[in-house]
Amino acid sequence: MSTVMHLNLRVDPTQYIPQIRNVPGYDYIHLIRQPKYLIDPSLFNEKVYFLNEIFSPEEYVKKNDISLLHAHHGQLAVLLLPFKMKTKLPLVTSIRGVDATLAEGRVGYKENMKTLFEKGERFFPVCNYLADRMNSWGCPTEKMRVLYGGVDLNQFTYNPPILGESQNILSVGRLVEKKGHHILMQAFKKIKDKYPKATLTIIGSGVLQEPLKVLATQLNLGDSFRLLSHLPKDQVHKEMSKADLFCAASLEASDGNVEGIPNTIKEAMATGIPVISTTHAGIPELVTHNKEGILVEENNVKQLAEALEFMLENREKWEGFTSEARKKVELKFDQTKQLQQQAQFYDELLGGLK
Amino acid sequence: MKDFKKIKVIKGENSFEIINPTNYPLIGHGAQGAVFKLSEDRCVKIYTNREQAKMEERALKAGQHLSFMPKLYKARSNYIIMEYFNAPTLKEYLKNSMYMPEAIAIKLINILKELKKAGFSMLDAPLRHIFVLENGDLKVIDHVNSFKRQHPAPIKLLRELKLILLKDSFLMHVERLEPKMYKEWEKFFDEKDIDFRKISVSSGGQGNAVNVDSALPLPLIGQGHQGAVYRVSEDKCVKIYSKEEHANQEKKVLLSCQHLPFIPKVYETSSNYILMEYLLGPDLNSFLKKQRSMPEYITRHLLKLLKTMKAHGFKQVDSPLRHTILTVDGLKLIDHVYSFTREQDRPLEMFKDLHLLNFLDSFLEQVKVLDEKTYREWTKTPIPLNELVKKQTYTGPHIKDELNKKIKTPEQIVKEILIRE
Repeated sequence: MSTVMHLNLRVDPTQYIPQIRNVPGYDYIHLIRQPKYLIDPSLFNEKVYFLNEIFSPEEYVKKNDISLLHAHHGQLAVLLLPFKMKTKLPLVTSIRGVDATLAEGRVGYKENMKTLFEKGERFFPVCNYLADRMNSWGCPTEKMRVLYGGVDLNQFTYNPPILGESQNILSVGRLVEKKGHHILMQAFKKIKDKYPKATLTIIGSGVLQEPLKVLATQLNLGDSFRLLSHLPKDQVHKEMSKADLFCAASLEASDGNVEGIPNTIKEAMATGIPVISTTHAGIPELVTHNKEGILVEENNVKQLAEALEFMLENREKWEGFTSEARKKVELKFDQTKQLQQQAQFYDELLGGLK
Repeated sequence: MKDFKKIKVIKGENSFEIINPTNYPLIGHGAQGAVFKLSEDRCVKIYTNREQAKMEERALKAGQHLSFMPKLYKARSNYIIMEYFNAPTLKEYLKNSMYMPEAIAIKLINILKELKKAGFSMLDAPLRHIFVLENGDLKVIDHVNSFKRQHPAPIKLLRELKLILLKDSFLMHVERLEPKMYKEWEKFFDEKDIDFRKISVSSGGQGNAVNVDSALPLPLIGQGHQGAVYRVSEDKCVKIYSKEEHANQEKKVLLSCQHLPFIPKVYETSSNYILMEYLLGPDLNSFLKKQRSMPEYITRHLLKLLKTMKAHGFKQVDSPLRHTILTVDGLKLIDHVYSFTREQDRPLEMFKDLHLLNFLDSFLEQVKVLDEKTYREWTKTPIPLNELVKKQTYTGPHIKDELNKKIKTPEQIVKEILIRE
């Protein structure tokens, strides 16, 4: 079995992904930059290693029989370039939303990405939208393979919507600008008086926690609004099971930060919650408007409020949306299939070398 | 402008006190003294040691023709007025960078070449002493040791670049742009030709870290009062002692306790070194810095470790967080020179470290639940935190005050970013 050395950001539940551990036919080493990025020691095992602690790249690669490098962000791939040069191993780079961002005050970002496009062998953008963007920056099409991230369909099982009385709207995502929570809160404010039973729950943590609380006070959202931070996974599932509508108001942040395709929407779709989202980034590749859910323009409070109202008024349409949504996820975003696809892309790159 | 002379900088054995009755904001302070901003383009460095003031004056004068040297305005026995740079340091500038920008590499190479040409013996600078101006020019401060220390290759610069993961990409630029310089460095740092069995370490004066000879090419992982530790292979490191007595003390502890789970494996010993297992994983201080609250399992493991120490006759029962490494095989503790000789029944260093992370109270609460007897022993008399934490007092304005004013409040963020309609 070939071993792939994966570099991603941290050892914690969010970064302990099947795209590292469960690629069929490939063993792995989970590399992080430095020991300080080990956040959850329960996930620490002999497969975890630290880039800055590798004493001799050549010897390390030989000893662990590594045949491929896979960086799970563009920036991490740039960091791996010297290692790649020394070991002459092929390098695969996953391209995610954050990689399309230029405005994070990172020196020399675009030049670095250009070098990477030249030296790297393969790029796996997580959606066509990002593939097009990378192509416009100079990444050759023949080096790119779009690889959608999948959902564990055994974990996220489908339950058709219940035609009950509750009107619980849920959004899950880090509390950062590109998630558009503030737009959702303003849209919710617009419909709140008409639907006094409606609630809005936002689950996430991040730099905007305090500002969003201030916004909730300013909008006078009162008890109908909840902001839940640092929630364990099983609690998130519980909240999802109580939700009637799922909303992801994603948008391009003022610093240029964009999404790929948010996993939370895929999970909601797999579970059978009707979704409302925006035409931002790769989201239309997941949700076809009026078929698998409702899409509105990003950063548009009025349209989002109208969409919420539409959904609340047309409950009989929900099951149509959710069954189509489940089908779409099973077809294109099934984790098992996507991991097989990833393995095939590796096979193709390694050719006879595997 | 002369009233800066009212500023007092007092350096004690274990304390640092600065009294500033003026409006000049403090820029920074360190082992040599403190620096205050006098105007948009001038600052004053006040020295606690006049010899150092003289050394820096000499270097600044010798380098006034160099483009990266701060302008010297006035030098007196205990202060120097020089150019002030309102710019990020290279460390701040490169923050989050994943690859050394070529333009910066070229400028750094140029600085090192110019220093050599000007006859400086310290061809080196740490990242925090290099400023990046808006036009991209670099400026280098702190030249006290320019003619004293011998750094024929940029030891500090490379060590710090390694810490922010940019050493490899910097060296790639150097290899391509200045192959001759690269060869010289390679020769200097060549690990394979060095036999650690022949290295000796000279001890510094009392209270100072050991002066490790700059010409030691192995990758240094740490140095302190007793000696220095170098990585020698993927899984081994060597601790080299300046005093045989220390080597013997630590050898005794390590060799007699190899069966204890938290003791690093020893492979080879001599009168002045111990070759031992290199521990992979974060030290507990770095680890806990990234935790939101004190994890209970860490408390449990620390408690177990300390109780094992006590049960096996350790006199010094302590586990300083920086010396406690979270490895795949559990917690390991390094530095055992005084484990059998220094009488200390409470883990005071660990208390201090936890206190600085704001975790001491929650740690003690967890201990109270897990092991009330130990809790009572530890808290029978008050924990002397005041004595443990190094005293640094400063009264007066700080340069960061201006920056703090610029940080947006949640209300401002709502107004400026969140409500766009």
